Parts: sequence; structure tokens; C-alpha cells
Amino acid sequence: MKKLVMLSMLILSLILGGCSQTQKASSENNEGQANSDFPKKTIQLIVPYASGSSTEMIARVLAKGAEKYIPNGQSIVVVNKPGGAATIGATEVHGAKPDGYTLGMLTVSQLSLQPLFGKTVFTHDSFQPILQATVVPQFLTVKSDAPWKTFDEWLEYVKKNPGKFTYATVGAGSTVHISMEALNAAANVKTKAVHFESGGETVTAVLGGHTQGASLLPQTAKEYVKSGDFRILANLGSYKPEAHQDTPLLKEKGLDAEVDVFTGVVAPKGLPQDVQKLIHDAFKQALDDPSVQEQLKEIDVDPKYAGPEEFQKEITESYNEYGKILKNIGLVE
Amino acid sequence: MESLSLLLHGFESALTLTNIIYCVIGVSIGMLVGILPGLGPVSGTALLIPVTFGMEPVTAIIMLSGIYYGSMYGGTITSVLINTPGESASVITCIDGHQLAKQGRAGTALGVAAIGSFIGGIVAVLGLTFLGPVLAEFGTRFGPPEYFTLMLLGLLTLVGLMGKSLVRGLIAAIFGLTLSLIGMDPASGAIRFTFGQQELLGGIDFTVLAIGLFGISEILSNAGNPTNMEKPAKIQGLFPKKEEWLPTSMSIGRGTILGFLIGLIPGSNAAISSLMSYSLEKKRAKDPSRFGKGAIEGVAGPETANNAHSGASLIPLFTLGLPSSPTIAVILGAFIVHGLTPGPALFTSNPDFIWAIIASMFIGNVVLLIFNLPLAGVWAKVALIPYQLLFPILLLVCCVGTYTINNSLWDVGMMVLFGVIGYFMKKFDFPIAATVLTFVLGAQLETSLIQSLAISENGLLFLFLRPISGTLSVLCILILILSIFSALKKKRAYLASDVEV
Amino acid sequence: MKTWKAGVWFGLAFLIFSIIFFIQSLTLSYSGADGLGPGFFPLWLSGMLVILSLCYIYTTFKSEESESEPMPRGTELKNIVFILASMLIYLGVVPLLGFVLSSTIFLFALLFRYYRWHLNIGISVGASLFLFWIFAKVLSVTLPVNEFGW
Repeated sequence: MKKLVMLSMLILSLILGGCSQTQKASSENNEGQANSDFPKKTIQLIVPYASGSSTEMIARVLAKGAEKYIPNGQSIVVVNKPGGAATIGATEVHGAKPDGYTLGMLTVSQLSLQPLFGKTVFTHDSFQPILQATVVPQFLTVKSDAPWKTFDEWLEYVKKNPGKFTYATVGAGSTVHISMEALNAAANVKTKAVHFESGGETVTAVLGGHTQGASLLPQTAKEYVKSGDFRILANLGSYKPEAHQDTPLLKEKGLDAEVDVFTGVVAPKGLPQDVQKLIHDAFKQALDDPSVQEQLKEIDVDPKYAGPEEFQKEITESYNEYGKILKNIGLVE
Repeated sequence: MESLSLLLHGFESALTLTNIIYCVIGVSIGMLVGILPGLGPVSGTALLIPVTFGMEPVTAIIMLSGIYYGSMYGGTITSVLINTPGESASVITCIDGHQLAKQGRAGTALGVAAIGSFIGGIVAVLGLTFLGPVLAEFGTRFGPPEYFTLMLLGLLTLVGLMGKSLVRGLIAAIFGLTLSLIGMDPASGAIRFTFGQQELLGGIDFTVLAIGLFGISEILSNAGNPTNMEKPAKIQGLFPKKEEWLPTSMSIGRGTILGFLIGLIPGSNAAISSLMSYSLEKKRAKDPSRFGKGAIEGVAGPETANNAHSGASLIPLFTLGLPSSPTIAVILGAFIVHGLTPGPALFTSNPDFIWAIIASMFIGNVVLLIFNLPLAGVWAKVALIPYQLLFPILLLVCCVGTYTINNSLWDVGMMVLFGVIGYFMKKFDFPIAATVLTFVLGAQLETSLIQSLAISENGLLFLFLRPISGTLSVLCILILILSIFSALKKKRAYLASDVEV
Repeated sequence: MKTWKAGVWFGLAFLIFSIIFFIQSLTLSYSGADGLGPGFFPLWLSGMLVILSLCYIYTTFKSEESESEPMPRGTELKNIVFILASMLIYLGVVPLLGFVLSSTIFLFALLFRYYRWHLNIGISVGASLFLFWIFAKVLSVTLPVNEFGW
């Protein structure tokens, strides 16, 4: 009987032998110890989303870029902590020791939006921001056989037909939802949100004609525009990405609404000044690195640097602004 | 025949030694990951994306898709051997698969599942090759109203499977639905039943529930009943008995068609395919009372259906760029990492790449079959490991597996709690599969109804006005009327011969 | 005659669960922007569960036939409590002692009755290390570890 156990273990180890080689390289990094001060061990960069998410990819690109500038040959490892509507990871960063070994790669969703619902232990100013790293706008997109060729035609339609236009979001209170509600408020129109759970589902909804439009990230929108399925009507963000110079901003249409999805590195509050500076400088240099910028562009996000104070200002401003929007539509009290 | 030459070209690029080796490695890791509870196809593929960073894109995707179907099959192994489903699609397999294992026929169950999976998988890939774009168009017609009626049909099928005690069955089913409500409601952002716990915001993870209710409760029951500690040692052959061949191959055929059609719908869960296939098999069987006591069709149909489903679900991915399941979403992420932007243009902009992957799926399915026919016998012998040695290790593996889902001990605690609940459910004859299946379908049922109402301009009437959802609604009503009718007519005589899900 | 009680208790547990959920659902808004609010499904489902639990308790209470298996007693109960307690203790110590050490202790405790101590130590250490190797090294999963990284 024991033979059988041994046999199955042997088979397992043979099967695994092939791939364990690839693993060794990555675990070696953990061993190089040095005497000098920070960092004495590996730095964790927590991502509150699952593997394969765009935030994770941003984190991996930046961590790899910043590693070069971290003294003592220490590395930065990206750790996925998904769950709890992406608040688990953020909660973990919030509760970690402020020693610089635990950092978070968080987005506007955790930093400015989730706290508004009042169910998280952290709020918009409970982190020590280190720097803002990337930003991306969202596009109001419709199917290409829709009757509206331009944003103005669309606006005219929704003005005449309040509550008729349906759009797909990735959840109530998501950045997608907020961006459209901001437009509704600024243009004084009414459109109807249909909440789905993922970007893929929203695309399906528009493709199948179940909703008339959606607010999409450039990466998604681009592909369907290329294939001739979708048409972009407007840019709901604050700036124009390189590949989308022709898409009008709401600002240009005389509407005061802009919602960007930003991502940045934060630490638990109480981080020593020198450690903060060291981490900030490493990530800043990574962000300035042309090859890092190139990789970010490949996944359709734009590098955007802001220092700690400025980043906090942005978080707080978004927090206040989105709070107003959410109150208006009755999602929070 | 253009697709055929493209496919042959795909075989050319896929059939390099490196690719085949990585395909084998992927399938093996997949099986391992599927066998370890907690690590399903989603986490399996997600965990190994970083490993593929240094590889050629084709090789990387070949390995990742290998992990995908390998782990689907691995989940079946645990369902059969230790009554713990690795992923939602194999919940149904536990019912008859584990019974077969108890009769010493684990090898048969696994063998049939391997053959069924192979056929289902190959047919799906053939469909993808020749009819991809046409079929994908059909898939997008499924909007919220269609989902809602489909889910409803699934739930009604489930209720139709409950015989002996409708009250117990309904309690179990509604318990599952209620559990699925926990967490943040995607439709309104409202937070429900979290009792102030941060960990519950995202809801209860399927794996936590399944491992607890099935796996842990099984261990507790066995511990409570020492006679169970001795497993039957007699192992029978890999292949079905002579008289079982025909019904088994019929089940495989039906399962293939059913799984393939439902798999085309983006976002539909493979659990629906396997559930409907099980119900269909039971309805078609001459003697439905064998179901739940080790009917081979109860393994063959659903297992084929779920593999045909996962194969078919790649059609919306390749032709429209739509991820149809969480695992596919992860593979999509890997596409991006390797510099391929998924979208409707993928087929036209990277034909070589796509055809190489499709070719590798043929290869992967063959590898899986070659691996599993002999291995099924080896796995079946796991039943020979003395139980007193097996169960502590199983407990430990369940704990680790559950921990790895979110790296949280909270989940492990929840798993223990569900283990205790499952133990009592078993004691008092509540059908556990009903709880787990309704849990899987519950969230989608609610959101799709709310989405339908948001789109609709005339309330629920809307469901009947669209061709697909209208047909499905009428079907639901018919089933409801028929089951009430037959219940009144045949009453207990009929029902007593029925088995619990 | 005594055995029906167990079923009633289990029914009561479901009843309490559903009543708590029912009361909670009342705090959620029943209707939303397009008809159904976040409170609609919870209210109906938990309400149905309340009624079904009552039905179940009633039928169990009334029925003459005894349950096939009564509540666990004696060694049965002891076994189950022992397994549950070991798991809870395991959960408590794993963040402190790390995966390998706590798993070894966990396995050792559960195997204690069946194997001689030296064989037991061998199995426990071996299995823990093997699992650690598979999960942490081969699959690069983060496991709870102690100061020394295991």
C-alpha cells in the first residue's frame, strides 16, 4: 500500500520536475541579504485585483522598473489580494506596518470611491500616498449602427428622450457608472444605467444590442472600433490619449465633467520620511524610463506622475466630487 | 475549406517539440491544480501566467489552455474520489461519480469521464474551426432577459430532480440562493448580510462553500461513522459493462450537443450545462431510480457537457473577444501580457496565432485522453490508501487550498463552518448539491432580472416578447405545469422512486 | 421516540438563520430605480425559507418514523469534536508558527491514534514539507509563514 503512495508521489514529482526549474530563478532573489538599512528584505506591492487585471500589469511593469533603483539588491514582488470588491487588498495595505515593506498599487476605486460607501475601514486620507503612476480616460461608446454619428447628435437625442438611452456599467458606483453620471449631471440629461459585473459583459451587452451604449476603457474600445463594431462618441476623461486625438472631450463640448481612472503607489500611514523618499525616487525613475513608458502604452494606459502631496490632492478632490454625484443619484446618503 | 488549410497550418506551428512539451506540462499542472481543492482552473491559470513571461506567445497560451482543460478534468477526479467538486461544473458529477467510486468503480467513472470529455472537447473545437463566427453571433443574442429565463429553467430542472422530500430540497435550494446574496450587490452597490465583515464584501467564494459542504462534511461524517473508514478494496475495470455501452455513448452524444449550445452563450456557467445534462439523462433513462446510486450516464452526460461547454466558450473569445468565464478572462489577460489585444479583430489580425492555439487544443485533448485512460486506474487506487492516513492529509490540503483563494484564513474558517453545516445536512438528508448549484446560479438570476427590468419598457412582459427568452419562458411554465400535474397524478408512488439530487 | 428532536433542532437552526436574514432584508430598499431594489430578492427568499423551515419542523415533529441517524454521540461525537478543534487550533497557530511547523503538529495530532510515534513524525513532517514544496515552490502560492519563511 505504501508503495502506491510512493508511486503516485513519484509520478507527481516527475510531472512537476519539468516546470520547477522555471521557478527557481525567482525564489533566489529572496536570499541576498545586506547589512545596510532599508530595504533588508523583499518589498511587497499589493494589488487588490486578480491576476490578469490591468492594474496587476501596471504593477508588474513598474515593480520591475523600480527594482533597479532599490538598494541592497532587494526586489519588489507583486502580490495579488483580490476579493471583497477589491477592498481586501487595500484593507491589508492600510493595516500593514508602516515600514516600507508593504506597499499597495491602488486605483481611484479604492482610494476615492469605496470609502464613500462607508463600509471600508479606510477612507480617502488614510494612506500615505507615494506617487501617482498612471491615468486613463473612458469613452462613451455606441454600436456602429446606432443612429448617432456624433456626440452632438447623441446629446440632442437624450435631451429629447430622457431615460431612454441605456448604457452598460461594471457595477453601481464603479468609475464607469460615475463617469456617465457626471455627464448626466453636467448636461442635465437622463440616461439609464444597466449594471453588469465585468468589462466583458458590458461589451457583450452593446454587441448584442441589449444596451445602447457603454463607457469603456480605451484598450477595450479601440479593438471594437477597429473591427467596425463600435463608434466612440466622446471622451469622458480630462485629457486625450495619443491614439484618440479626434475624440472630443466633454470640456470641448462646453460640459463641465471629467472622470479619470488613476492608479498609484501608496503605503500605510506613518512611513518614515527617508523610506518614503527612497521608494518614491525608485518608482519615479522607473516611470521616467522610456522602456517602462513604452510597456505602459502597450497596455493602453498613460504614465502620469504626481508627487505625494499632489496625489493626495487628486484623491481628495475625486472623493469630494464623486461623493456629490453619488448623493445626487441616491447611491449614498 | 479555407479553415481546414489554416488549421493544418496551425498544426504545423503547434507541433513543435517545445510546444508539445509545454502542452503536456500544462495539462499535467492543470490536473494537479484541479486535484488540489481550492486551486481551480481560475487560480491555476492565474498563478502560472508569470511563469510564461519568458516564453513565446504561442507556447505560453498553449500551456495556459492546457492548464485550463487539465484542471477541468482534475476537478472530476476529486468529485469521484473524495466527493469534493473542484469547480462548479463537476458538482453534479459528485452525485453518481462518488457512488460509483464507493462500489469500486472509480476507474470506470473516470474512464468514461475522460472519453466523454475528449469527445465533447473535440466536437467543440471542430465547431470553433468551421462555424466559429456564425455561432458567435448567436451567442450575443443572449441578453439579460435570456439569461434570466435560462437560469430559471436551470433552477426548475433542479427542483424537478428532487423527489423524496420536496421540503428538504427546497430548503437546501433556497439556502443556496440566500447565501449567494451575501456581499456587495452589483446592481445597486448596496451591501447585504455582511454583518460588518470586510471579508464578506465580495461574497462567499464558491470554492469555500463547495469544499466545506462537500469535502469537510464528508470527512466529518466518516469520522463519526467508523465503519466508513474501511473503503471497499475491490476495483473493477476502466470500461463500462457491456450493457452500459449504448446508454453511455448516447449520454455522451446528448451531453456534447447540450454543452456546446449553452457554451456558446458568453458568460453562461458550465454548471448549467452539466445540471441540464444530468436532468436530461435522468428523464431519458428507462429506470431513473438508478440515478444517485451510481448510474454511469449520470457521469458521462454531465462530464461531456461541461467539456463541450468549455470548448465552445472559446468561440465567443476568439471571434468576439468576449471572455465567457472567469478562467477565460484570465487567459485573456495572458493574451494582453503577450502583446495580443483580444477583440473581434483577433482572428483576422493574428490568424497564425489563433490557428496554432486551436490546433494545440486538438493536441491537448489527445494528450489528456492518453494521460487519463491509464491514469484513471492509478487514481482509482487512491481509494486503497488507508483512510486514517488519507483524511488528515485531505483536511490539510483542503485548508491550504482554501487559504490560497484569497490568501485569507477567514475563508478557511468559513470552510470549517460550512463543513459543519454540510455534516448536518447529510445527517438529515438535505441535498447538498442543490445548495451549491443554486448558489452558483443565484447571483446571476437576480442581476439578470434587474438588468432585464432596466432595459425593458414594459416590465416583465418583455420576457415574452423576445424570441429566445419567450421560448424559454414558455418552456419554464410548461415544466412547472407538467411537474405539478404529474405530482398530483402519480403522487408518492412516483416520487418515492425518485432520488435526491 | 427520542430521535425526532435532532431534526427539529436542525430545522430551528435554519429558522433562526432565515429570520435573521429576513429582518436584515427589511433594512434594504425593496424597490429600486427600475422596479426591483436590493431588498426584493432577500426578502422573498428569506421569507420563503422561514415558511419552509416551519414546515420542516412541523413534519419532523409530527412524523412517527425516526430519523435514520440520530445526533452524534459517544466516540462519534468525540471524533468530530476532536477534528474540528484541531482545525480551529491549527487556524489559530498557523500565522505564528508558520505553515510547515503547524501542519506537522496538526497531522501528528490527527494520526496519533493510528500510527506509532516515529512513523507518525515521519509522515507528518514528510507530508507537510511535500505540500509546502508543491504550493509554495512549484505553484508559487503565498502561504502563511513564520519569521524564517516557512
